Amino acid sequence: MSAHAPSVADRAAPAHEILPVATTAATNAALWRMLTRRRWLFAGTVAVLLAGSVAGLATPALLGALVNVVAEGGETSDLVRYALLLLGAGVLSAGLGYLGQTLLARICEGALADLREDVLASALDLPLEQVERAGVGDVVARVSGDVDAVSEAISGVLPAVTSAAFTIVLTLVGLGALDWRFALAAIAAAPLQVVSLRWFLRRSGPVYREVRVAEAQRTEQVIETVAGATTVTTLGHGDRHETLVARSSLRAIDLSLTGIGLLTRFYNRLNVAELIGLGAVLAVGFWLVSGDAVTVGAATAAALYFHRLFGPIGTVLGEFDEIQKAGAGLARLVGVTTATATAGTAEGDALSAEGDRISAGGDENPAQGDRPGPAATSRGTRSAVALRGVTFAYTPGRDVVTEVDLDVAEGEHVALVGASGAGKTSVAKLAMGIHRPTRGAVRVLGEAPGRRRRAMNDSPGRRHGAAMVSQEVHVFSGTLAEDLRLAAPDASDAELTAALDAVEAHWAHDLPDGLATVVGAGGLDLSPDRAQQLALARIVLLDPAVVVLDEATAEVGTDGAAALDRAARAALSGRTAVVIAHRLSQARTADRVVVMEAGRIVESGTHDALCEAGGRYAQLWAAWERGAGDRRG
Amino acid sequence: MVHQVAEALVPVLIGVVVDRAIMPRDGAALGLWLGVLAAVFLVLTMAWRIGMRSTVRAFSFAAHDLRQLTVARVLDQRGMAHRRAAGETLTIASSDTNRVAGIAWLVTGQLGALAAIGTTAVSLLLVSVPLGVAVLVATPVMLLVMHRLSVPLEARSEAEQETAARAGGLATDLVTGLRVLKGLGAEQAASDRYRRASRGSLAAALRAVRSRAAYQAVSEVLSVVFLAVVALFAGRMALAGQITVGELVAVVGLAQFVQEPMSRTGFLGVELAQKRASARRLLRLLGEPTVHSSAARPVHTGAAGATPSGGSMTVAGTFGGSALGPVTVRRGQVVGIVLPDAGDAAALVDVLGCRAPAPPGAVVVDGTDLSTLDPATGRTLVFAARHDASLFSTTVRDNLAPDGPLDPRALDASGTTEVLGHLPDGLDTHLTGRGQYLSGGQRQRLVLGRALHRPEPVLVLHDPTTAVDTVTEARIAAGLRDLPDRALLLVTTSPTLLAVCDHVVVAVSGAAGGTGLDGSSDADVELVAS
Repeated sequence: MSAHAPSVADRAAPAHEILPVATTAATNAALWRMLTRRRWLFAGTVAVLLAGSVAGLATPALLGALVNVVAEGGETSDLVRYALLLLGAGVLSAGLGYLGQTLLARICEGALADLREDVLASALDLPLEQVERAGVGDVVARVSGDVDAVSEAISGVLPAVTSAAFTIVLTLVGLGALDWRFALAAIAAAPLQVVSLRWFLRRSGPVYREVRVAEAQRTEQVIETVAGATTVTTLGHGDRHETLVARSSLRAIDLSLTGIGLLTRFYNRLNVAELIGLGAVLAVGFWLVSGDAVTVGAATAAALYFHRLFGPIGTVLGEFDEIQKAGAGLARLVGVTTATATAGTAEGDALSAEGDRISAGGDENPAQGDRPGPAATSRGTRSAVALRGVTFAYTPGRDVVTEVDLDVAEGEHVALVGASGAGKTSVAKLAMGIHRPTRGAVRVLGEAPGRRRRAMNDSPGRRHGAAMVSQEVHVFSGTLAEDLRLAAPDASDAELTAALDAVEAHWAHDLPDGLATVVGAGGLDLSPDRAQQLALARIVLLDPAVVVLDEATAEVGTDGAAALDRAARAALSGRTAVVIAHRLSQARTADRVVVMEAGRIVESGTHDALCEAGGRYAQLWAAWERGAGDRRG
Repeated sequence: MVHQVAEALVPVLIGVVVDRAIMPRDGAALGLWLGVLAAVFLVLTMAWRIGMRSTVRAFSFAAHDLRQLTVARVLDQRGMAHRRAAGETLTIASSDTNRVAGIAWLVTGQLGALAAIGTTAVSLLLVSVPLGVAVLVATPVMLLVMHRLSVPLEARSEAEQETAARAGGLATDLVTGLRVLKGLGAEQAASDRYRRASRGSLAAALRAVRSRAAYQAVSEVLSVVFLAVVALFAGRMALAGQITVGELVAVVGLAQFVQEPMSRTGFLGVELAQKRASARRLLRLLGEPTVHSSAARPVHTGAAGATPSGGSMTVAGTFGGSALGPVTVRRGQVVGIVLPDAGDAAALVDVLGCRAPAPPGAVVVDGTDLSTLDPATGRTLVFAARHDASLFSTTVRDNLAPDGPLDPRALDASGTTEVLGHLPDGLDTHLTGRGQYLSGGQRQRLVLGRALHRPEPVLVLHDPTTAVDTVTEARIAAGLRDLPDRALLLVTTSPTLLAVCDHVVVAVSGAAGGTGLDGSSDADVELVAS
């Protein structure tokens, strides 16, 4: 269908159309908002973590004091006192550590949950047109891949880094408290650490990015091969795909070994920094003890303090990269939320302008015009769906719908017939407000279509608004009831069963767990005709006034097709319907048939009238009849 | 291991420096021992570097080999007796292979921990026998306690990962069905549903963090008890003059250091259990019996093969619940088979495509019984792809005909030419995500185009036009009619396609039916009842 071609074009050149990525400032602002929402919890957590680190620092100090007792020939009772203090400080530090970690998790995980929920809600609110341009893949990557990356950092790395950072700062303070010259000696390691980190980040960034890309490609290749395994073997391409997987895998290994090479050299440098720092602290200790400025115990404590820093410093420096990665993911997530905000306002403006246009020209001058193939309503007085002089192009200059006038009366069923690329699906999307016309105006139930659907969201009153059954069939994973309740969240089990019965989905009674049966990805695989019945049952539950049905049922037997036609009739009865006919049997039962060619309406009338007229539709019907005759007998 | 030994020596050296240099205020000794410290650091850092690199190498290549084995098994021509969902196979091919290969990390990590504990114990033994013995006794006790604690911890973090994966899967699923949701205006309901899943995931994550933090806290308390006891006894010994001050420093330094390796060793049991579970899944997949019994394989290999005069196939037998009398399709003919039940049709096509074993005598190609051929040979005679065949993420050209030139007639007949007009780079368009961003109709025509490029003399098409509109279907039907030099079997219920067949056979399930058939002028129609 031509309607889908632009999305492919956009995916081929995604740089122009992918969803926005938030700026650093916007990302920081979003982070700040999340934190301030929990400011008291945040303050409490900081206090607890600080106290925990202080308690932790008591350990080397007490060990130092204990050494002093020995060096100065003290009493055993002193030793016992220090040992008990050591125990107390350790238990306190462990307890505070526990509290701090759980509090921190409440902040981080809570903020993360808020964020991912906001992102999904925003992604679902994006105008479909924008999603089609960006590609569903981009949105999926953000709600899954980026959320995962940020979660990993927030739940795995952030707590570790936070407590490590506290330990480092407080240890330096502790060293300074022993003697300011110890702190100075410890800082001797810092220049090399900073230089090494910069060296590492400069080189590791690109390499790690490449590793991630290569690993993603390998995963994609494995997915493709495994998911398409049947096709691969049928085509006899098994060896070819094995080689493809092997090649992508070896490339990823190659790159990751390069990355590890960098990482090990980085840690080698950090080790040298540790050596310099430790050597400096010991030398300063020697010097100070020689000058009787500090006790042997203090020198011991200083050395032990510094030795304790090895782990935390490694954590902070080593995870720097993870944090940067999470930052990139976060920017992409915040980008989705900002995309909705801007799209929302832009759309609102466009809709009100459109509304003005149609009330200025449209209603007073109902286009019963003198165009060829008048497509005015065949019955009824009020039109439920009205397209007036509608032209639409995905790319300027290449109209896919040209000057279309179409009125569908309340309760009327209109079938759209035509070849792929004739503009049927585009007309349906225009009627649903998914696309906005380049010229002309569209009205559904007297209002601009997008607005009507939004209003329906706000007040779940029935018998309003328009709904579309798209060509794409999707069974949402979860229980059958959960799937159906997407259309009617408050429906009772009895209503759900009634809706299924209305579309002849009697198989639902035989499911192992009834409405609680898990269907979709990871559950029971429904056959295409059953999935289609489910889509129709959702319409029955939603109970909209206008339905656009773009149902192309694949792989159903003869019996299946007839059952689906009956189900569709049941779901559409009493509603206004625009049916994109994929089988001419669907056109035959419609009140009116509208034939499209190259974006224009070329014929319009009842099935019988068009057959008699001997035009385009009559030819199509004759071909269909000849084939159908073989089986109908 | 060397690295961990060296790490354990650092606190010892701190003690030595205190003892030999700081206490006696000996500048030369300071220089000497700082030099030794530098040497230990050099060994430590180089050992770590070598160990890290070789571990990564071992891990990566082990994972690679396991992955290739898995992929090779999945792609085996003989198929799998028990077909797994793609998601399950994928988990095995990606996560389980990695996890099993992770044994490389486990071995080096645990050996390192043991080395660290060993070095600590030896160092302490050298300082004082009772202290060394204390470490050797305390270690197994600690291990036992930590192992006990780590088991429920593992269960919690598994539950956490599971709920997180479920929430993530739901998000992906909802966005994938975005068009459907938009059609219903069900954005709010969908987002509410996700919110509930996300809150569940949050609760599980918090539970897991609490367990982890508790484990850490307990481990800290245990080690501080150990530290306090060791410090007290070593202090008394130092006061009594049994050990020097520097030795005391080394002892407390070691007691602090040994905590981390001990808690790491506590996880050994859980890690091993995880890896065993992954290894079991992997083995089950690799050992899965094949669909085709190996007895039927070797009979005709080589004897059969595409011959220029070949291209005739006769099908007879029961497929699913439908019975089919002898139907023959010859080179240059188009024959239609109608199976009213969609499942039966799929079963027939699977047999013709050698994905399911053919009943003996049911399918005869050029005089050879398909059931006597191994699947690889059978597939050189008949091409029968599934209705839902996949496309691959490469260029359109590579999808259509990766090995040979493109045939303009096949492109036209399949309606591919039309599709190409809508693609940004025509034949060179790269299909991302296995073409899932194409419309159903575009995908179906590319799949048909690919089938028409196949060299096999007998071509079986299963409902090839369900996703295209009636006008395009009519065009494709006409194109198929005019395909030269092929035996073409259409398994379909589409009237438009059946209208162009030379011969249509309808299978009726159950008792003999009496449905009469009046075919189009040039079709010779028969009814075959079971």
